[in-house]
Amino acid sequence: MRITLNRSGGFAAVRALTGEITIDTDSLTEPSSREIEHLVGAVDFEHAVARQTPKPGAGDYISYTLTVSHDDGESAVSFTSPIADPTLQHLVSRIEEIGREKNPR
Amino acid sequence: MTFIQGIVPPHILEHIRDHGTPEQRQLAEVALEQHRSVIGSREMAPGVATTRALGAPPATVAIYDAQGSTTLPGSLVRGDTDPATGDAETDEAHDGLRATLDFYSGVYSRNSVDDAGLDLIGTVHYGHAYDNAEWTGSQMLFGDGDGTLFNRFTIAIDVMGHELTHGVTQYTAALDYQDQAGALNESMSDVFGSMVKQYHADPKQTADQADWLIGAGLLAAGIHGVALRSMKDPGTAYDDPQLGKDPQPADMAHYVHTSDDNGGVHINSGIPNRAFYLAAAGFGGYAWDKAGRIWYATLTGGHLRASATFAAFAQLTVTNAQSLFGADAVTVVRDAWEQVGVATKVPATDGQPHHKPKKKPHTTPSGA
Ligand SMILES: [Zn+2]
Repeated sequence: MRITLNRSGGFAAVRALTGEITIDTDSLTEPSSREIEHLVGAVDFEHAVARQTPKPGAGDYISYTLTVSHDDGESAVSFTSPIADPTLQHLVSRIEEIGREKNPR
Repeated sequence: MTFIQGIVPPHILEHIRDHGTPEQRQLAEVALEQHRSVIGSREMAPGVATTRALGAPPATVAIYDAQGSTTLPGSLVRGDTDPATGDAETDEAHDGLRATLDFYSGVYSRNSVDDAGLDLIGTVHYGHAYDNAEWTGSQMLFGDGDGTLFNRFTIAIDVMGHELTHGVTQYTAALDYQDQAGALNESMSDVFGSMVKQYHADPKQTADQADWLIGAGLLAAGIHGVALRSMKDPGTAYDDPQLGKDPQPADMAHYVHTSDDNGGVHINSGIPNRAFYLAAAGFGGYAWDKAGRIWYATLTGGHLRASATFAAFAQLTVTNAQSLFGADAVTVVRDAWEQVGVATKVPATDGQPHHKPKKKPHTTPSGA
């Protein structure tokens, strides 16, 4: 499974916090791979993401696009912070952590 | 319990809830809950038909703690009149939001974001090492920063001023958060956030004394930079191998076309930010007296469209410069915009410079 997280915006809007993180679960350690695949399966994308459009007047939210590619094809969802769904929040945080480990600052 | 609701202001209720007898506490909690749901329903239609409540009590500030979670708002840690807690984020958020309310009230006679005393909520310790501060449309939240790139987001008073001003914009011009209108929305937050810092400096700072930085102190130790943005010199705030380089343009010739960040709203805001700095420096003295008053009248006066371009906004500032301060002010404001590459026209006048009105500019909800 290949997962791409694209991030833009936010109050800081700096290069280090934006742009794309791509991870291939085949290249992760066994526990990390299992965790990511479990989280992707556990997020109720239709429900969690539908509530995640910015409210009128909101400012400095982060815009995310999450693309999941596997053998059956590809699906993408877009949403913004603050992320209300804890599972989706956990998935985003884990992808960002893995992204930092891949490109240590 | 009905007698509590609607008569006792929320900060008193909070005090009762925290310090009253068990029965009083319960009544206060119920009344507070009702108060919150009233506030919630008011927020459903931002910027629409908020009748200005003359004589509405001053807004209160309440700080909540998410304790590293992403649950909003979290638990109340400091009500409006509570003493400092000793927690830096809590106290900085409280004092920064209080300072911003005082600035709007003291300088522009504005009672909170809706000018009707809307009570404000800020959540601190939001998320784990969260690198952001946001206005959600109904409250503010502040992350602790990751410690490597960013310190806590409450560290600079202009961050609270910035976020609260998103609320002011929401309830007035309701500028779209996209492209040039979005960059103007961002610029309003930087402009008024920066003035909050200057107004609350001790002593107050004039335009030439101010540093015009947004987020001074926010960059973690070791990051090459002085702040997140510079209104005086957009593009010069930071240049660091980890963080990247400040991408803000200083004039229209360097406008950045991008689909990221809602069309570069945090990037191209450098252009109107610098125009404001140049106007404030051109007038001299305190920024809020002339340039700030002109910008405030433009944002809240009812003539600014939600989809406004830089040029449309600039022309309205020129019109307001004329009506508030006369022909000399027009020259200062037109020069400022010209230096950032935004052309304006001389406004039609009746030949009589108007004097500063005693009353504050009338506030009209969005949709104008
Ligand atoms: Zn903003």
